Amino acid sequence: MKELKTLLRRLEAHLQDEIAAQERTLALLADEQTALCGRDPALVLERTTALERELQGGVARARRRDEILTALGSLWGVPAATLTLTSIAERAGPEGERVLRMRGELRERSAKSVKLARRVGALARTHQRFFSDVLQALFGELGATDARVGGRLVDAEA
Amino acid sequence: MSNIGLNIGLQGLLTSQASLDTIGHNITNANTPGYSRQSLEIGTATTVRVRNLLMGNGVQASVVRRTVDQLLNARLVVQQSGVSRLDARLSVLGEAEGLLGNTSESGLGKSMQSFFTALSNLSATPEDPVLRSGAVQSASQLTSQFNQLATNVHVLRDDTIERLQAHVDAVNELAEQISGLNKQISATESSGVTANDLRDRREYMLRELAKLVDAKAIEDSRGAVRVLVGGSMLVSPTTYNQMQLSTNSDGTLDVEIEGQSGAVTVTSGAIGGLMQVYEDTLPQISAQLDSIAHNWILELNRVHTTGLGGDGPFKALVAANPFEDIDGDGAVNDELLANSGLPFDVVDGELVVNVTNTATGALDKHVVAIDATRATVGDLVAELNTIGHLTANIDGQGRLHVFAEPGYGFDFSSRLDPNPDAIGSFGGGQASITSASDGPFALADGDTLQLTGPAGSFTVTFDAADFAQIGSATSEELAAAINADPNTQANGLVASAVGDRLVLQTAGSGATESFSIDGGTALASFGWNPATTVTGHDSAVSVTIGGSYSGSNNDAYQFVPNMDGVIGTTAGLKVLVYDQAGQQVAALDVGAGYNPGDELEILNGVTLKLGYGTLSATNNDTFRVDVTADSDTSDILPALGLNVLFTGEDALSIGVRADLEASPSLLASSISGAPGDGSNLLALMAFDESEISGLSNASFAASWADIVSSVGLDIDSSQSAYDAEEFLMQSLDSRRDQVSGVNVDEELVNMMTSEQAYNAAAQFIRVSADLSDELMRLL
Repeated sequence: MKELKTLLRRLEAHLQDEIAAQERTLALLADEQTALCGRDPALVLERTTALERELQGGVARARRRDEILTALGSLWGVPAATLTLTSIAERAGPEGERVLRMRGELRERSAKSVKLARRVGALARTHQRFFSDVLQALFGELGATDARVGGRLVDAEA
Repeated sequence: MSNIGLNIGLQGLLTSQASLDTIGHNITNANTPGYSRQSLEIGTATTVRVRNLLMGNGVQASVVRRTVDQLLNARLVVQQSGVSRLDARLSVLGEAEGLLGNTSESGLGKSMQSFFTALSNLSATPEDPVLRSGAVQSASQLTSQFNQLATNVHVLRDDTIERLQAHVDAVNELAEQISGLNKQISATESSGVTANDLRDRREYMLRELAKLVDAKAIEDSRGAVRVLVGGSMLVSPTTYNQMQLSTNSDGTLDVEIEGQSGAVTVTSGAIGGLMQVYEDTLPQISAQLDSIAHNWILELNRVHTTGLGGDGPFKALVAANPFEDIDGDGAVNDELLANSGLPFDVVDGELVVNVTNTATGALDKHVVAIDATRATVGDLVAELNTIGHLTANIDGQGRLHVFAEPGYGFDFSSRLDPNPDAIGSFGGGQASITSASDGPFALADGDTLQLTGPAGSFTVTFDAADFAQIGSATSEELAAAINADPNTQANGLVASAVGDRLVLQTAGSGATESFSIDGGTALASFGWNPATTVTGHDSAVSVTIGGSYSGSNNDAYQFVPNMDGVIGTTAGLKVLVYDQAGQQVAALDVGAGYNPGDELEILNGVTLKLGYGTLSATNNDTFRVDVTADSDTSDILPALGLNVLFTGEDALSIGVRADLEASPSLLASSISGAPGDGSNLLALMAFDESEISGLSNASFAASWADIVSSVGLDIDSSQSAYDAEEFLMQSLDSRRDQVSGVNVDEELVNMMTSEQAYNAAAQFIRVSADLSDELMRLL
């Protein structure tokens, strides 16, 4: 019983980190969106680098989350992959109320984050394709070594 | 929130699209003349209020700006004007240099040299008809060269006018286009948008205009420019005025702008450069060329007119240059010689006219005084008509004609009279006595001269009416008065004037001839003593003058013996020679030891030969020789064009006298007229290197070289200035390219950087989304 309480406290702490991380990601995506619309490649790179650093933290958090879920699965004799925050709260009874409340908060943040990430991603891909098309028109396939597949200057007045 | 987010994304895409459009516009116009690089300015989009919250709305493109440095552009316009001025100037000067065509193998200098060489060849054998033709042909080629050069310069001036007209037309086209752009820019910018491309176009037009004229552009508050040329308005904010080129009566050009009073001074641009060449450089070349031709005609004709051709003295001459009726009264006779329309100046001086008896060779020299500012054309004609055996008149075209009577010829040479003692007053066969001194003689009315001749004694009484002033009676007046007395001729006596001395002698020769001077009140004036008997000689002394006078002034040599004696026999017998000022200039030993007939050097190239005979100092034996350095100190001959080689007065009109060109024997090769005499050719050849006062003491060749070198120097200095200005222009252009030009590489690098940045962003955002998705599965 004591082990369950310990695991639940570690899960609550993790969820707290996750909620804060989602908040930071939202802010970074918003900044990235602004940079993308501002047509300043240097700023885009700067914001992307900040986002990259944040994402590196996300991988570490996912590993810690897997460890907690695996321990809870062993305690309850169920595979960790079948556990959700809702089922953990139900199994924990009154001890799981905080987890349930934090799950709602995290869901809201994560949903926002996913939406914004998809939109900003689409924006970045659109810009990227646009420049890629223009460059390909001028230079041909990037990285091509055969000059014949490269761009060619033509006399437009001929 | 969702709508705002979508709007932000759309705004971003549109902004990016506008940015790419601007980059594409830059790349497309990278080589468009006058194009200035444009850039998109991005600003924060207006915020929106959502449930009492001010929400950011992303970005938006606020304005597309031209990257220009107005100060640099203004400097470029001024610089362009200066470079174009020098370029236009160099272009015409280069053509002028080519037209002058001066090389060692051709050109005017070479033709002058060929002419002098032809004269040199002829001088060795002046009678050679082939060499004469060659010399005249060489003169013709030279005059053709002058004509061609003068024509070339005139043609170049005409071409310059045509170029100027084309440039003025171009100015008007540009003014019209700038005026049109003014209207478009004002209309566009009235809505608050900057008309970038139109402004670029207008600045390009202004720079094109600056290539033609020194234009100044001033922009007003509505974005339109006023264009001023030389302070006059060419383009106003609403319209433009036509520029016009007009030629004045004196050949100068005026640039005028429609609606503006007076001519516009254009100092720069191609028009400024061409105007400068047209009004200064080319007229200067033309004037220098004319000056050489004018002085060539004058100087060489001065020598030629006083020479003699292969045919000897002239029977008739016609002046090449007519007198003009300056006062418009229908007659030329009343015109003063100094202002009678002749192409060369006539000055105060003397003209020597020689009249030769073609049968005997006897030479009669006459000096015609020319008072250019007082004597009229009629006076000159009348004076010529006083010379025996000559007739002068003016034809209907105002040309002077001079004719010699049959059996006589005339010329204007400075030749010496080879037989100066024709009357025998220097040891001649006649009984002869000469006045002891030069006249004039101070006689009084009624003075007498008592003589005894073969027919008896008689008295000559002098009447004041026979003299201009009997108190200053001249030798000519006295001789005429004595000869007018019938007793003189009845007693076989004759009176003559030898210079300013009076000579009285018998008409016959020989030792039997004599007369005596008995007395009279006039004796003392002549230095004669009463009761003097004068006797003739059987052997008359022959006097022959030779050589040619090389002195610099006209003069007269008077010859007298120092004692009575026999030539070649009497010891100490000398002939003393005095100049016109009375100074003794030579003493010739003709006594014992002198071989009669030997030539004696006198002075300045003049020689004397005396034959055997007796000289008498007691009877004042004497003869006189006029020596002439310049037989026309008045320049009346080259002014009239009498016996000239060259006709015309400048480079365009210079030519060879037509009858001389047809008959090269008329080329005045000699001064004496003697066969083999090429002395006049030598005098003409001296102009090869002579310093000419009318050409600032430079020779003809040096003056011509000066024209060629001054054009060359002008080209060099203009080229240096052009190089410096062009370098500055390129430097300014380079700075403009840095500021306003499009660097295609830079634009592409920008695009690649953007593409990579967006690519990286897209990938990381996908990772972010994946992580969030994974988290959502847990929820």
